[in-house]
Amino acid sequence: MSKCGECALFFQVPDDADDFEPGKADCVTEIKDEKGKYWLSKPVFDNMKACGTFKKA
Amino acid sequence: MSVVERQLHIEEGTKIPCRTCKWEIADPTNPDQGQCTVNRTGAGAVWKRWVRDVHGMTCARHEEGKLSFRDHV
Amino acid sequence: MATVAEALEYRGKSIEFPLEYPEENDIPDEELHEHLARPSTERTKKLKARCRWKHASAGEFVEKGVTSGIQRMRFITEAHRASDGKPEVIRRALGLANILNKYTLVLQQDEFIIGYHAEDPNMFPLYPELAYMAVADYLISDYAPQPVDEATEIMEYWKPYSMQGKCEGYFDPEDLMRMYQVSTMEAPGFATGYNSVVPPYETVLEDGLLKRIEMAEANIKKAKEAMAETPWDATKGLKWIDKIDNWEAMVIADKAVIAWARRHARLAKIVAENFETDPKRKEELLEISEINHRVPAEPCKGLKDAFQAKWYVFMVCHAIDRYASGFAQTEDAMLFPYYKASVIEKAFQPMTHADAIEWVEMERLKISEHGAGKSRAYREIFPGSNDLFILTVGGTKADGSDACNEMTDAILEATRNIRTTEPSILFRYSKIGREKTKRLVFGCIRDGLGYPSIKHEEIALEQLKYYSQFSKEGNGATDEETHSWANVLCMSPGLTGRRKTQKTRSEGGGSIFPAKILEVALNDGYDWSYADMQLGPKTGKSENLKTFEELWEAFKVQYQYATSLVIRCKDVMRHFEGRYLQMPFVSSIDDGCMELGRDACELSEQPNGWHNPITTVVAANSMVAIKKLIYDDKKYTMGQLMDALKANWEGHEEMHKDFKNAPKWGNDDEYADTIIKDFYEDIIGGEMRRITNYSGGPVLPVGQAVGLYMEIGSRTGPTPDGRFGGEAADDGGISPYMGTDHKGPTAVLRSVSKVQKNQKANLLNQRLSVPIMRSKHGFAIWHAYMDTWHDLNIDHVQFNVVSTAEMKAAQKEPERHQDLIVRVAGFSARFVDIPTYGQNTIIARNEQQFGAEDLEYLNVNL
Repeated sequence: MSKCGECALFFQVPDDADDFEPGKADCVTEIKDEKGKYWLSKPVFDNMKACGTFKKA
Repeated sequence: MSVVERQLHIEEGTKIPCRTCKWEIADPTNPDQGQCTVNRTGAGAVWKRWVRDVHGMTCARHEEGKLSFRDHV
Repeated sequence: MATVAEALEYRGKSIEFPLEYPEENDIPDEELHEHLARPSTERTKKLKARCRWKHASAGEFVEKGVTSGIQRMRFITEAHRASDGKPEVIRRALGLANILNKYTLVLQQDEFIIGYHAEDPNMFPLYPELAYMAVADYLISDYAPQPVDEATEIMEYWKPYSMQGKCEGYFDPEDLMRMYQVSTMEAPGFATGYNSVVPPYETVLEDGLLKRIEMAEANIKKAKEAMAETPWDATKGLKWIDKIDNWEAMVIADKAVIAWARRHARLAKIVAENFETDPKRKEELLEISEINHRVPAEPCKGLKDAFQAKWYVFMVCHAIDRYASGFAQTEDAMLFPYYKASVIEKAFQPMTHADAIEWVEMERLKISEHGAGKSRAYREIFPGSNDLFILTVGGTKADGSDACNEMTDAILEATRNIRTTEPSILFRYSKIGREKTKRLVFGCIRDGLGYPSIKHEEIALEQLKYYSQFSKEGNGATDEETHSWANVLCMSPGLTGRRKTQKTRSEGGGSIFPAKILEVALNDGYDWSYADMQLGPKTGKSENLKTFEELWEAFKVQYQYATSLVIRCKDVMRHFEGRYLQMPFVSSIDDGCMELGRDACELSEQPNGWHNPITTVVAANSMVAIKKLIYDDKKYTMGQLMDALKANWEGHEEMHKDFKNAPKWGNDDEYADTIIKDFYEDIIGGEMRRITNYSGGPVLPVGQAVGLYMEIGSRTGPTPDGRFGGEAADDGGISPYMGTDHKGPTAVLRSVSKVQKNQKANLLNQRLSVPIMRSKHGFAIWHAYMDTWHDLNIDHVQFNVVSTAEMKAAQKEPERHQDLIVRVAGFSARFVDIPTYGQNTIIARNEQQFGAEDLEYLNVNL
C-alpha cells in the first residue's frame, strides 16, 4: 500500500516553517476545468495512505 | 372538491406536500416552512402565501417540479 | 443606430446633444454596454473571461458547479470539541488556527493576488456556529456540502452552541415566527448568520502581524506582573484575567494567519518549480512567493504588498473567521502611501500608474469570484450579484482639503475598464473635490455601472460627530477621525482605520418594512394576505379609526413594536457575540482592543446604531391617499377601502384609479410632501431614535431597498397607494415609486430635500437618460445636478444609465448581454441574472429627461 511520502506530489514542509511538524508536507495537485488551471495544496503526513492521484516519486 | 382542499391546507401524511411542488420556494429563514408562488399577475408579479409546514401542507394546484430562478421574485 | 437626444431651447439658444464619442453613433442602443469593457491588459482580459462568478438569484447560484465546501465546518468543529474547558475566546482562536492550518489552499492560473477562502475555487464555506437554520437549508439544497451526513452531524452538534441556539430562548416563539417570515421585519442575524464588519486593514499594512504579536505578548507580561503585585487587590487583579485571555487569543490568531499566508508562499514556489513551464510566469510566482512570505507578517513596503496583505485580512474577517458581507474601506486613502512608494517614488515594487490600474482590476475580479455562504434570504435579496461589497473613495482629509488622489483615479479607471458588478463604489462628494476625479466618477456612471453611488461628505461627518458623544467608553470619534468614514455596507457611514470601526452588524444593519407594517396596521395588527396570522399588536380595526391622527398613531405603535423587537434581537446577539463569537484576529488589529485587552465584538468605542426601513414610500404614499380621499375629501369610507383591498381592487376600478392618482412623493407636491416629510421625521426616524442600543447611542433609520423591495412586495397585499397585491414596492429608501415621478429630476430633488430630521441615510435611486448623459453636455449637466443635490443637503444618490431598448433586448437574448449591468438599489447586478419580474421593475423606472426648466434650476452653463 503506497504512502503519501512516496508520492511525486508530496512536498516536505521545511523545518523552519511556522507550521512545521515532523513528516508533514504540502500535497500539491493540478486541476483543470473549463475555466482553466488551478493548484490545490493540502497538508498531509508521510505515513498517510496515498489517494487516487498518487504518482510515484 | 371542497373549498378547503382547493386552497392551501394541512393534510397529514400527504403524498404531495408543498415541498415537492414547483410553485413552492423555500422560506427565507426556516427550511421547514416555505412560500407558495402560484398566484401570479398578468404583469408577472408574484403574490405569495406563507406555507407554515412544507412537509404537511398541500393544495389542489400542486405540480411536481422546480421553477427556474428567472420565474421567481 | 444610437438614439441622440432631441435639441432643446435653453437660455435663448438651441442646444443639441451630439454624442461625446462620435463612434457610438454606429452602435445600436440595444448593445451599447457590450462595447464598453476594456480590460487594460491581456492578463485581466483573460481573468475576466474565466472569472468564476458567484451570482445568486431567487436563492439559486446562476453559474453551474458552485457549491458549499465542508472543510471550514469540519475544522472549526474539530477544534471546538478539542478545546472544551478552555476560555471561550481562546476556543475561537484555536478554531481559526485549526481552519487555517488544515485548509486546502488554492492558487489559480494568471492571478497575482492569491488566496481563496474555501477548499476549491468553485466552493464557499458554511458557518454552523452562526445559524443552524441556514445550514439546514443548505443541506436540503442543490449546494449541500459533501459528505452530507458529516455536515448534518456537524449542524446538529452546533445547535446548542450556535448564536441561534443561544439567542432564541430569550424571545417569544410567536415573535420569532413573525420575524423569520421576513414580511414586517427582517429575520434576526442570529437566525441567518448575515453580518458586516469594517476590518482595521490599516493596522496590518502599517504594522504587520509580528508587531501585533509582540504587543500582545508584552501586554500579557505586564498583566501577569500586575497580578503578582502585593498586597493582592482582587478588585483590580481579577480584571486582568479576561484581558490575558483576549491577548493570548490574539497571539494564537495572528500566528495562525502568518503561517497560513506562508503556506501560500510555499505553494507559489512549488508551482513555479514543479508545474509552471512559462519562464515569465515562473518568475512571477517566485515574486508572489516572496511577497506572501513577508506579508502580512511584516509591514507593507509597496503596492503589491498592500493588495496582498489586504486580501488576507479580507478573507479572514469576511469569510474564514466569520461570515461578513461588505468590503468596507477607504481604499484610496489606505493604499495611497504604497502607490506613492511604488508608482511615484518607485522605491519599492516600482510600477507605473497603468500597472496600478491592472492591480485594481485584478482585485475587482478576485471579489467577483468570492462565494458567500449566505442563508437563503440573502441569496434572494441581491439578485444578479454575489454579495454586497462596497468600497469608498473620495471625500476630505482631516484638514478639510480634498482627499482625492492618484489612487482614487486608478481605482475609478480600473472600475470603468473591467466592468464587474462588484465591488460597488461609494464616492464621498464634496464641492471641493477635484474635477478630474469627478469626471472619472461620471465616466463609470455614464457607462451604466450603477456606481459610484454618491454620499454627501459633510452630512456623514456631522453624523459621526453626533454619534461620538454617546460613546460608553468616553472615546468616540474625534473630529479628525470622522474623516476616515466609509460605508459599512451599502449606505451607512462608519469609521475606518486602526480603531473604533464597526465590528458586527449587531451595531447597525437589518431591515424593517413599513409597507407591510401599514397593511397590518389597517387590519388590527393582522396579516390576512401572506401569513394569515397576527403580526403585530392589536391597534384597532381601521374602520374604527375616526381621524387620520388615530391612523397615524396606530401605525406608530405597530412600527415601534417591530423596531424595538428587531433591535432587541441585535443587542441580545451582541451580548452573546462578546461571550461566544469573539474575533481575536480582528481584536488583534484594533488598537483599542489591543490596548484594553478586550474583544472586538464586546468593545464599543464609537456608537453607530441604525436599521433600514425598506418600502417606506409605499406606506407614505398610502397614508397620503387615505388622508386625501377618506379623511379630507371624504369620497370613500375606510370600510370601502378595506373591501377594495381585500378584493385586490377587482370590482373597484374607479376607486383604484382615484387612489392610484392621489398625490405622490417625488413631484414637489406640497400636499404629499408635507405628510411624507412628517412620516419620515416623526415616525420612521422619530420612533426609531427613541431606542438606545448596546453602544449607548440612538438608532437611526437608513432608508434602503436592495432587492427586498421585490421580496416584501411579493408578501404584501394591495395597498392604498394603488398597488396590487404582490407588486414590487418602492426601489429606494426615499425614491419615488416607479413611474410616479412625473415632474422631472429636479422635482424629485426638491421633494427629497424636505426630509432632514432624524435620519441617518436615505437611498435615492434615479435613472438618467442615456442620450443626454452620453452627449458632450453629459458631464456639465450631471455636475450641476450633483452640486445642486449637495446644496439641497440630500444624503445620497445613485444612478442607472441604461436604455429600455437594451434591457428588453437582453431579456430576449441574455447570452449576448453578459456585460449589461444595472443598479438595483445599494448594489449593481448583471441584468440577465436577475429574475424576469425584477428586470421589469428596473425597466419601469422613470428615465429622467432634463428639460429647460430643470437645466435652469440646476444653473447649467451649456
